[in-house]
Amino acid sequence: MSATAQTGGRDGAPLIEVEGLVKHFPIRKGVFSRRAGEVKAVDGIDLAVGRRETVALVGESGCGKTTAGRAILRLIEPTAGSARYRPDQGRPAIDLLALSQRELRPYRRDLQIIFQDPFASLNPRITVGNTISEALVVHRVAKGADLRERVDSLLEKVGMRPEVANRFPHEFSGGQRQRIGIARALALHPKFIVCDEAVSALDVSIQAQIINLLKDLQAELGLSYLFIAHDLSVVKYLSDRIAVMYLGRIVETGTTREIFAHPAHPYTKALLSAVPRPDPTRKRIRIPLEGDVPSPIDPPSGCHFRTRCPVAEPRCKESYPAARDLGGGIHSAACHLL
Amino acid sequence: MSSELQSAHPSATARRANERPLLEIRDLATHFFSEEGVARAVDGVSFTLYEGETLGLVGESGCGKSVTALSVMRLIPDPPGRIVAGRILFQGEDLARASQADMRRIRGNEISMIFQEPMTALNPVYTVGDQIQEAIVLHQGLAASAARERSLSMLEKVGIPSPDARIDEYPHQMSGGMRQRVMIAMAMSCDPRLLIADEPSTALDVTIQAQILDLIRQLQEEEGMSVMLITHDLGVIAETAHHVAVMYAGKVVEYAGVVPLFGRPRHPYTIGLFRSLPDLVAPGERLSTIPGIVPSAFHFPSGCRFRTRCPIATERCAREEPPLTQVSDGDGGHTVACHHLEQAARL
Amino acid sequence: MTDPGVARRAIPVSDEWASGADSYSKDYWDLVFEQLARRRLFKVGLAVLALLYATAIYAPLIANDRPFVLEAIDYRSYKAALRSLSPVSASLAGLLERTPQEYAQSRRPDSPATLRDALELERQAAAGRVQTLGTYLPAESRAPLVELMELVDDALAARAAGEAEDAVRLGDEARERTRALRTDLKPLDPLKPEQGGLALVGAKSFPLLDAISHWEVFFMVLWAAVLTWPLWNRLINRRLLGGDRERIRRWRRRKLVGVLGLSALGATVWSATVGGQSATFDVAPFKGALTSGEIAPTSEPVFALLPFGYAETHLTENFRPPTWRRDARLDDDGHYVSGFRRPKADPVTGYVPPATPVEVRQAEPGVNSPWRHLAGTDELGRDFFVRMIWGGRVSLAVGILSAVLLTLIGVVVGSLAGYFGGWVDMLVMRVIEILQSIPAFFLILMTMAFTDPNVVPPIIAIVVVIALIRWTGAARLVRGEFLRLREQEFVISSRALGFSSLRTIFRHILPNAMSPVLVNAAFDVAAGILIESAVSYLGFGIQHPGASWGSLVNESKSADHWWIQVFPGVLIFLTVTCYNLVGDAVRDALDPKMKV
Repeated sequence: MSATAQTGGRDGAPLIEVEGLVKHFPIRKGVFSRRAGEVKAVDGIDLAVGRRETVALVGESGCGKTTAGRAILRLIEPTAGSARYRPDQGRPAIDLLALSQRELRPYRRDLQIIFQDPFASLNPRITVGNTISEALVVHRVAKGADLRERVDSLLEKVGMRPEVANRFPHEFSGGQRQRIGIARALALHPKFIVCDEAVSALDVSIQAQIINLLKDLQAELGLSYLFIAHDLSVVKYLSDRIAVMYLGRIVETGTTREIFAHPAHPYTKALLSAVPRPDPTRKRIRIPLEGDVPSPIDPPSGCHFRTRCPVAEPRCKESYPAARDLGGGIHSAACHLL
Repeated sequence: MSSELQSAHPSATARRANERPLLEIRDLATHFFSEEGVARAVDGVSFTLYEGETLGLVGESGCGKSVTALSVMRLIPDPPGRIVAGRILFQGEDLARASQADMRRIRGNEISMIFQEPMTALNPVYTVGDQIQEAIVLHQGLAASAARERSLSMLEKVGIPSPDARIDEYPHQMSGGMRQRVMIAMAMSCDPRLLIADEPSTALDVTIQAQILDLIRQLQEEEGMSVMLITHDLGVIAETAHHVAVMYAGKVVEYAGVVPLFGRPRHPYTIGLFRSLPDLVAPGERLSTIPGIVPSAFHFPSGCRFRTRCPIATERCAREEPPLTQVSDGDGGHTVACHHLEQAARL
Repeated sequence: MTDPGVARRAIPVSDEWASGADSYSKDYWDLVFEQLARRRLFKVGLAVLALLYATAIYAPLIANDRPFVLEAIDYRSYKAALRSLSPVSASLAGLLERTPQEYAQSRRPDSPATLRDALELERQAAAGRVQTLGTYLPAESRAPLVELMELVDDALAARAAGEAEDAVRLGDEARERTRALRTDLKPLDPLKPEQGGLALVGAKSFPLLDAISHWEVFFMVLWAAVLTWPLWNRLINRRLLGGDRERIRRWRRRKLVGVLGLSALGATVWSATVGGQSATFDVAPFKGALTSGEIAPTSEPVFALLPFGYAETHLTENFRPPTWRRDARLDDDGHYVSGFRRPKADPVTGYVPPATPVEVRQAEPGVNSPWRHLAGTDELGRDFFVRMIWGGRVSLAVGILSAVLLTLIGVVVGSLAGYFGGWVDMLVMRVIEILQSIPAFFLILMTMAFTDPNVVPPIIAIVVVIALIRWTGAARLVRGEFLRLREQEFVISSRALGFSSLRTIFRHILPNAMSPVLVNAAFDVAAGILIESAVSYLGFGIQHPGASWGSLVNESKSADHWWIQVFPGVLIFLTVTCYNLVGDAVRDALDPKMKV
């Protein structure tokens, strides 16, 4: 699905443009680890994130969204595809996936990630201050008093007192640790941050704090986010555009408003109807999905969703539907029935 | 295969008159004793659960809702935990003082529980059928073949396709949603009067979650069973519960019917909770937050436990713990524990 | 400084930290120590081990047949020096008569290369004997010796300057002088004063300390610091650091370095001043000489607590039970009075086989004193208790060294396999599997059987062999931890931040991976001790006269000699149990809060 026309970002050309991203994991069996099959975690996706824009990548477990996020950052080596990164408007884009690890290193400063599990994202043996400042030290950005100042200002930026720098992670709650993780990601002044289910493990009230924080930081620092999530209400609040993933492919993209108001793909409709709403007086219109998510080792032929789709037709078995533009280049879905 | 279900939320008022209390909890306190001190996980909780209804027990992590449920089932590990006070009246019997033999008769039989992680709640070395049959044989004394028949019918009831094939499968051969259904089948196999569901859908995907919650609601309506649903997800509460008890730091801070609670929350914590839901905030508007973090169970604040994070806390809140006061009596009563209800209303 | 955006956003984090209001943040070791301090069995185990190691380290000071302080006249060495001075001076004179060329032609192959070297050698020989003589002579009688040395030096100088005639003359004079000294300096025999002679004076020496090398001093100082650690640690923390926990934490490394540095300093000072050599296992001559009178003490010599050497035999007392037992009593003829050793008279002739009375040497407790042989004796009458103390050195050393070595190897290999995966991992795992499929004990036994004790000292051989076979356990643990930690978010974050693999491994993964390895190390020490004991028991480890607890058990297989089997066995059991207690406590103590 071509995404160049999809960018809603405000400043022209997209910051990151992903095309045809594929990640297959080989399954190895036997004493000598023969290749016995492949898990097609990400099976060809196109995505674009503009400047100061938040694009949400939504889907259920096993759809490949986490893999996609990490593949873009080269934390997992993609099998195929390109991710063109254009740091400045005037200059040409660089394909991140074509660089060697050494060439990639300077670009790593611009592309960061924050994780889901706040209890595993910080090294328990290192103080908070050292965790945040380590990147600055390794990239030789600052040292001594300047370093301490930077750490203090980063901690304040994420809403924590500078005095916490000498403490160890085990003293902090989940929300506080998540803030520390954000401070660590901000240390090198990135332009693009992948938020890998960054608020999913937090309680509701803490979630709100972190969401506010992310929004403020985006406004203040001009960040772009790729927000990977499964909670659609958070996504609705935070993101500008949404891409819905199912079994390694993007089935629908569009602006948040469009997707929530006029979901086109049957899966998106089912997903939206399944989200519990905190309104007891509302009538629920539930679209039930039969069965389980198929295995990504052997996805159904044709449209991957056809085995659970309430409106599937015989032609859905024959070929994978191409993305169809549903209007104005801001909404497209991959379904034969449109 | 394609259908659209329409169901309005069952109005609780219409059923109020016939209901008798099934489970009454009065001033329950469960403490954990360790070298670091005493964790007062549940510290004076009272509520009533009526027959045939779903009570939602909602709160964030560390508020004591799971401990409450485990206390009802008397599954608190001793040491380090113990029920130190209170009464748990189930059909007239005080479970807090019942003997272990009595509890064994009740567990799985009259009160069943399902848990959050279907992965670890099922024994990986026994087939699904064996596990369901175990409870049936134990409590109902049926012979093996009759038990198997019943297991098959339970699997069908919880909506597992081709139950004859599935009954001999092992848990690892099934998906998360399937396993959760099996757990529900196990819990329902002896027709319990009360089903305690501790975060039954949290670990599941949204679409599967919807299926499981629909299933629980459907079973409740068919069997007339009561459900105590524990969760932190307010959306789930809104769609499934009749009454809601909001817990914070080991105490119930607000109790009401689901419609009045969502329509007009009274306690500052509940209000703050609702304000932080992205669903209930207009886009572009800032999410309101509750400052600070949940206090540790070892060091609860004096007086009202929420005062360290409450925007309208006063000196009185530090001295006196607010009792649960009734603010309206429709629909089972709306009770709140707060000294400053008028100011809370203006939040 | 803070802009309004930040102020608005800054959440007033509550003053009560999640874990309490303490302003000091505990790190990993704080939490571990805290947990360990609560466990009584851990403290007991550690105390017993500290004591056992102290006994092993201070063994030379506890059980030794050399006296600490000896103030005596050593007649034997005096007479030997006097006697051998003449041949030395004769040989010196002979050399002086030759020219360098003559010497070079006629010298023997193993003699020094040049005349000058040969002369120097003889000069040193003479100087040594002169020094010995001078030690025991009163100050006023030393003059002739000084003159003699001057003569010798002059002779050598003359030779070096090429003045042959002077050299020869001086050499002859030295020879004459030496001959005269033989009579002049004849010592006075205190038992036969009528024969006359020169009255000698006693000299003070410290034979025991001479037998302690600087390595041993290193460990003695180190262990003294370890044993007194509670005291000086508290002192430093209170006085110097004022109880400031942050400073105390920073000082941890300094204290460690300080203790090691102090030990090294002590060792260096020792080697510079006393310069002792490790005791060989020759029997030291002192007790015998004191008993026979060849060394005449001028004041009471000070012996160690157990005045027996570990190689000192008492052949008349072989296989004697512990002397505090009734069946160890001996009468004056040397017969056992009661018990299983009591000689039985021949029923027909009434003949009782004769026995030799026991010789009680200088400083030893009496024949039937309960303190004489606390653990009995072995086949050669060597005191068993002393041998157990010295044997403990070997057993404990092998345990700890093998554990340290195998942990080192295992950690390195396991880290590489766990981090890099792929073919490295596959290779390492296959090697591990091959090694583990061979019964470890037999492999060790076989390797030791093929090791020549003359080429490789058995202790080193056994440590290396144990380590090379048992590293697989530690490697697997580390590899497992690495596989788990590799996927943890904080490690992935290091990659995202552009850290090198080296940094990720050493700073992030390895410290978190060490916990199970440390636990295992304690059990590995215990296993090492058991293996060494078994190997030595079977005769493939430590050889005579060296000892280890295992080899001691092997000294007798007779059921009568129960003390040979029981006592070392009890020590092995005690040590292994204490290590197991320590290992268990450490495993329990590794705080889950600090684990990822």
